[in-house]
Amino acid sequence: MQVKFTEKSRLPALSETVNSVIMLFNKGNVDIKKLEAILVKDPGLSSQVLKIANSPFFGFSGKISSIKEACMIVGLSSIYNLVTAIGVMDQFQSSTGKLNFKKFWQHAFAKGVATQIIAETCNIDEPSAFITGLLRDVGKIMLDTYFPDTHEEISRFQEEHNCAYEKSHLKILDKSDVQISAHILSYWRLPQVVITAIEQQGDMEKIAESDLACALHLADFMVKGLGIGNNGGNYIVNFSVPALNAMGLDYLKIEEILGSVDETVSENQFI
Amino acid sequence: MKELKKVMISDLCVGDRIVKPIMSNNMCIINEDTVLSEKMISGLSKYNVEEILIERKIKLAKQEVEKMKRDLFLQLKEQFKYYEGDVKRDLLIKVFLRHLLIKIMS
Repeated sequence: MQVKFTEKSRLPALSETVNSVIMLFNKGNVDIKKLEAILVKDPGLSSQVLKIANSPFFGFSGKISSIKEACMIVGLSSIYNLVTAIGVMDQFQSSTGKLNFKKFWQHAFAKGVATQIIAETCNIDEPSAFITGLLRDVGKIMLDTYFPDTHEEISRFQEEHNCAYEKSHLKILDKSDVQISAHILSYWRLPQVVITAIEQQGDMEKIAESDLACALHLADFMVKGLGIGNNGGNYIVNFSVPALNAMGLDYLKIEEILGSVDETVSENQFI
Repeated sequence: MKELKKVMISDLCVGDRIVKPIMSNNMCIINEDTVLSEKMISGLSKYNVEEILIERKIKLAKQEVEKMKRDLFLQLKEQFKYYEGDVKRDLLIKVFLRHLLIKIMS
C-alpha cells in the first residue's frame, strides 16, 4: 500500500490563528501583546481558551476575563498548549472512519495529564509535557479521518493476524504509528522536543535518552492500563524498565501517580 | 422448616431470592464480622431492618470483591495479550489491579 504522507496537500492544515501562534512561539521571546492581537481575531478560539483557563484544571475558576489576563495568570506555555490542543482537536471532530472520536480524545487528554503529572513528579522542567501526551496518537486519528481505507486495512490485518495495532501498522505502512504522529507534528511545526519525545518513546533502545520520552512511555502505559477512553489500540505491548529507572520511579510510586491521573481526569471532563 | 434464627448473612447468597424468605420473619441474625453487599442491603431495607444496618459498616461482601478482582484481572489480561516486554506481565497487572479495586470500592 502506497500512502504518500509526504504530500502536503493530503495532510490537514491547522487554522491560520493556530499556525500564527505556533510560529510566534517558535521564534522565541513571545510578546504578550502580539499573542493577544493574534488570538482576539479568532473569537471562537479565544472563548475556548478562556473557558478552559477558568476551569478547575488551572485553579482560577471564573477569575480570568481576557486573553491578556490568561497569558499573565496561567502563563504563556499553558496558553500555547491550549491553543495547540484546541486547534488540533478542531481538525478531528467528525468521524469518518472506525475510531470513536470522543473516546479517542478522552484517552488523549488523559495521556496529556499523565505525561504532565509524571514530568512534575520527576522534576522535569518541560512545558510541552501535556501537549506531548495529548498529541502522541494524532497519527492514528489523522489516518482514520483522512486515510480511512488505509486505517481499515490496518485494523483488518490486526484482526486477521491477532496482533497488536502497532505491529499491524508497521506491516501495512512500513512506519509506526508514532512515526506518523511525529511526521504530522513536524508538518505543523510543533516544537522539536515534542516530536523527538514521541519518536523516541516508540524506540525501546533510545527511549532513555529523553526524559520526556520516558514520561510519555509511562503515561501511555498508565492510561491504557486504567482503561480511560480508547485510542483504537488500547493494548499494552511493552514496558520499559530503563524508562522507569531514568525517571527514578518504582512500582509503588507509579500507583500513586495512577491515583493523581485518575482524579485529575475525572475532575476535568473537557471532552 | 429451617431454623431462621441460626442463619447468618455471611452464609447466604447475594440477592433477594434467599434474603426474602428469611427476612419475611424478621429473624435473621447479622454477626459483627459480616460484610454486606449493596444488593443485600437493598433487599434487607425493604423489611424495615435499617436499624440493624446502621450499626454495620457497609462494605462489599468478600465474595463480590473476589469476583470483581477476577473480572478486573481478566480485563487487564486482555489488555496485555500482546505484551512483549521483559517485566513479568502479572507484576504489571498487579500495579493496576490494586488501584482499580480501591477505586471501585471507595
